[in-house]
Amino acid sequence: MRLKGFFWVGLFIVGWLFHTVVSSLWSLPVPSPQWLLLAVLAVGSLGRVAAAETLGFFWGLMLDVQGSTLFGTQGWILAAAGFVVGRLSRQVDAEKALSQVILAAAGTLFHLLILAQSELLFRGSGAPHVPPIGAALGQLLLNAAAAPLVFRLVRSAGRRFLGGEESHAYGD
Amino acid sequence: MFRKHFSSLLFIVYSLLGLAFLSWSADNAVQSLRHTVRYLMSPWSDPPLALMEQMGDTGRNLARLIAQDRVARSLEERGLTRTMDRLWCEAVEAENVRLRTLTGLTPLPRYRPLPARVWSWETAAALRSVTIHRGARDGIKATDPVVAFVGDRPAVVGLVAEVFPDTARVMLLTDPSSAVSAAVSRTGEQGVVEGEGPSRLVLNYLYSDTAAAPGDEVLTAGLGELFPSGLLLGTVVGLEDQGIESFRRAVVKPAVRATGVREVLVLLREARVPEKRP
Repeated sequence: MRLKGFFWVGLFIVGWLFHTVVSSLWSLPVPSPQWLLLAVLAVGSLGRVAAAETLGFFWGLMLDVQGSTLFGTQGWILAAAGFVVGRLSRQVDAEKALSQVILAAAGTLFHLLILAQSELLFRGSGAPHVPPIGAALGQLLLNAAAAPLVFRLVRSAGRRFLGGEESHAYGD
Repeated sequence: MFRKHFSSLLFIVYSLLGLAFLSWSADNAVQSLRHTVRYLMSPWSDPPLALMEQMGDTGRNLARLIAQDRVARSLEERGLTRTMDRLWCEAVEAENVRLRTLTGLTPLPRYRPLPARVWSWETAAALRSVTIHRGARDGIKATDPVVAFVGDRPAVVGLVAEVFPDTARVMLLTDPSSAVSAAVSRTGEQGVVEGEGPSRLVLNYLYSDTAAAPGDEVLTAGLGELFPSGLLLGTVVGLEDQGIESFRRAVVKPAVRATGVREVLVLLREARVPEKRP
């Protein structure tokens, strides 16, 4: 039980550090892959619904604080992504790279659409934080490309620290 | 019941919280938190970035070192090749000396280049010439050949005609009284190049069925030992009848234009020393 707690806290910290360092070093003209979104999807694919949405919510809030999106937007989006993927984990074979790529692409689309809608709804006056179509497409492709790596890392670490079995219970 | 729907309830809580943050314009309240987080993050995000930059520098230095090592190896190989060439040349030269001694031929003269600046040029005078700022004190003698570089090739400017203590007058190749033994580089046909005006030379005494053609290079033939062989004289621009039966002549454009030359090399003939029989 204690090991599981350490694992989630460790994943939270390591994920955030990784995201910060890689995003800082990223020098390509397109945004860096959304490592935290992919990690949330990977945790959700393990059937850990509560963990996925909790990690997603707090990572999202931190992203809101770090970035320029409205506070609460990304928190809710990442929590929702973790919740939905966790719920679907029984129906999806997340071991397959194709499933991982599809999950990542769908998660990115969901993130972009909800982000744009919430910005339009809640921003009021002023320019909303909506990425241009080229950047959005680049983001989608990068996320899809990085998904197998993130899924493999998170799933293998999860199996090692959480005892090997995947939880598909609704309550985690 | 609670355990079964725990994740759904948690999601509802997170959704309500998110909605609350958005509805109450928490973004404004979070601005100071945003600045604080950025302030707190900068110290511990700097070390990994610095480490990565350092690793990048190390990689770049390593790549440069490998490239330098490759250059050094290449130079070493070239140096070795040059050494072998030099040894081969020395062996050939020794063989030449032996053969010359056996046949009684005199050796070809050796030349030592002496750089000189052009002081003036006088193409309108009877003697088409340039004056250089080196003279007898520098070892220049009459009939020493004078060359200039065209690109990376030595080309004939003329011949030292008069020598004064500190200056010398160089008769240009284009002077009507200048005559140099020459050969067409491509065909090997030999003749005599004579001056015919400021930018015109003629290569006389080519056979009427000559294979020389416009574009062919004309080089010194080395006969008479006034000039070393192989120096560039000019390029054939046309062929015309010479007025003498069986002969034609080639019109040659000089490689060096006197008015464009600022520095020249005077080729000083080295004194011949009797060769020892090896």
